[in-house]
Amino acid sequence: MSILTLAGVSKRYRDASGRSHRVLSHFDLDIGRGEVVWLRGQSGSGKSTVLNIAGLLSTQDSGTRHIDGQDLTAPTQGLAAETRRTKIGMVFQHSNLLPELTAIENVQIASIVKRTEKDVMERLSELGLAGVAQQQAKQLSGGQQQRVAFCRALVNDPVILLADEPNSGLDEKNTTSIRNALSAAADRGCAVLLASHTSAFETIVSRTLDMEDGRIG
Amino acid sequence: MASTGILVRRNTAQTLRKLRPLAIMMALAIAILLIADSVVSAGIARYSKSVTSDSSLNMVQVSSITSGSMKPITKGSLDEFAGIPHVADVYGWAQVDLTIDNPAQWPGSDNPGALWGTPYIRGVSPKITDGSVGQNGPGLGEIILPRSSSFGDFAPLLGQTVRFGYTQMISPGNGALATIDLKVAGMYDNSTPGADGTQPSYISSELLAQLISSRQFGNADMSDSDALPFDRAFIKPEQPDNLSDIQSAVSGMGYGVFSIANQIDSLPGLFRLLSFVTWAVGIFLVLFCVGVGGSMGGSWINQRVREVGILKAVGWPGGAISRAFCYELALVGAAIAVCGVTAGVLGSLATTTIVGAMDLELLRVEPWTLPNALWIASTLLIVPAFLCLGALRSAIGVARMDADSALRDL
Repeated sequence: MSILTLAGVSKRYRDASGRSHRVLSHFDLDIGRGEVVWLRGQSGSGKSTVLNIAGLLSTQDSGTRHIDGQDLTAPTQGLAAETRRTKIGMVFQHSNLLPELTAIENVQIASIVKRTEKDVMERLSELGLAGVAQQQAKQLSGGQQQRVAFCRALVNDPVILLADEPNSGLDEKNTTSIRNALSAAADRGCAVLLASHTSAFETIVSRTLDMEDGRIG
Repeated sequence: MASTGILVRRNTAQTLRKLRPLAIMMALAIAILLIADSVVSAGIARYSKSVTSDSSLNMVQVSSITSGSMKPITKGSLDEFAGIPHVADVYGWAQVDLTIDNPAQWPGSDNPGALWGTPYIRGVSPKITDGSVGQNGPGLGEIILPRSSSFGDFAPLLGQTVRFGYTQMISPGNGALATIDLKVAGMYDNSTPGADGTQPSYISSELLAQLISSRQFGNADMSDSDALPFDRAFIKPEQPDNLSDIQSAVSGMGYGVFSIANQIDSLPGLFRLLSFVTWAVGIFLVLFCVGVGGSMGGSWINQRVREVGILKAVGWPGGAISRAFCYELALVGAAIAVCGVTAGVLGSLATTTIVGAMDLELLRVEPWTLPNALWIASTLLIVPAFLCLGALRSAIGVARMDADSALRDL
């Protein structure tokens, strides 16, 4: 069954001078449960735009969008927020944690149900973060921050996980840890859409889509 | 959102750190307002009350002479006055001659020091500068003397029991010298002439009544006689507002009436205006700070697009983000208000103690005075509410931002 379907999606941006640039053109994508899809391409090829549209952070100019069987081509802000909260997990190139909050609190603020520290701690422990759980995010290393971001993305057991250059700037050990987390999510049935210009996740992907100028190459 | 509390708690601490100078400024403004209220306003209120209620401004002076006739003021008249509604007190006024009996205690070597025994009436009689005299004036066996006279100084007599001579009637037309021992309980300020004639001394109304009765032939007892004569009477109303009604009632009884309040009727209004101005300045100060706080709070929220983007990405609806910001600013306001009120209360206690000890004529305050409870309660409510309202527009604005735009700001 399809978890994420984008059909004929196009998107243009205007730059500061008002000129319009096409970033996606008639883009089609279909991801099933437990599948790991790798969007591969150079910077500016439109990978992040696909992830933003798939994650309901951005709207497409044309085309349709379905998530978990629900038509979300033009959702209200409230429906988009609810869908992001309950069905989508997102990991960004930079972890995007709230720096003043602890690792546990960063995970707790994303939870749709009130989770105790003990509950969150178990999840952080799975990613080797038990020792830093009570530290503020700004005190963590880049790798630790990115693992906390993974934990936050998965806290509501989403049906789709979107990861945009998740290993950017990380060493091999942390990259491995993130690869394992992605793989584990897919094993639980989560559809994973991964944007990366490196081959670090090659071993776990089900399908690779090469992107060039807003199209599948 | 289940985790709003976590975010608000953390962000409140962070915001207080970031806006520390503003928070300190607002807390100081609150503290200054409360201190000013407890010192200046209380001082003005107290002085106003003293001037309008405990002075000759709040007295009806009664005389026996009217334009067309004369009606003597007697003990019976005083009882009549006391029966008029809203009369707080009635004082008969007359003077009896008193002389210091012992030549060794005379202020001048060849002068007995003539003094006029006069009833002490609070608010009308002059200020007592030395000695220990009760709030209602001298007791039955006490006397208050002028600090000095043209013949010499009475100050050495303070605290001593002095024998005074006075005239007692022994038969119609014949008087004899009688004596009475009185303790000199205080000295009054006679540096400026008062309304009680040349060199009065002050005694209690009860003692005056005794001395007057002895002037009557046969030592008539005051309590049995309605006929004891007084030259004047003073009537004190319960409230300054009752003054004109009492004046009319006394006038209707056939007596001559006079009150200073009729001539200076603008004074209570002036005090009300002064109190209002102090209050208005305080309110302006608080609202100014709250306005600045709200504006800076809004500006602070506008800088937090990154946070909004992250919260939207993890599924927070715009309304929940706005609410979290408002709660945060309300808590920041509450923290500022609590600090300001605490400083204001402590400052008021300290300042009133210092100012009270200085015994300033125009700023009499009780030591250890707390600020007005209404002010404290208002401050604790207004500051958080205004900070929250001031930031509301910005909070709604950023929360409405498109998630993609907010994240693009990262």
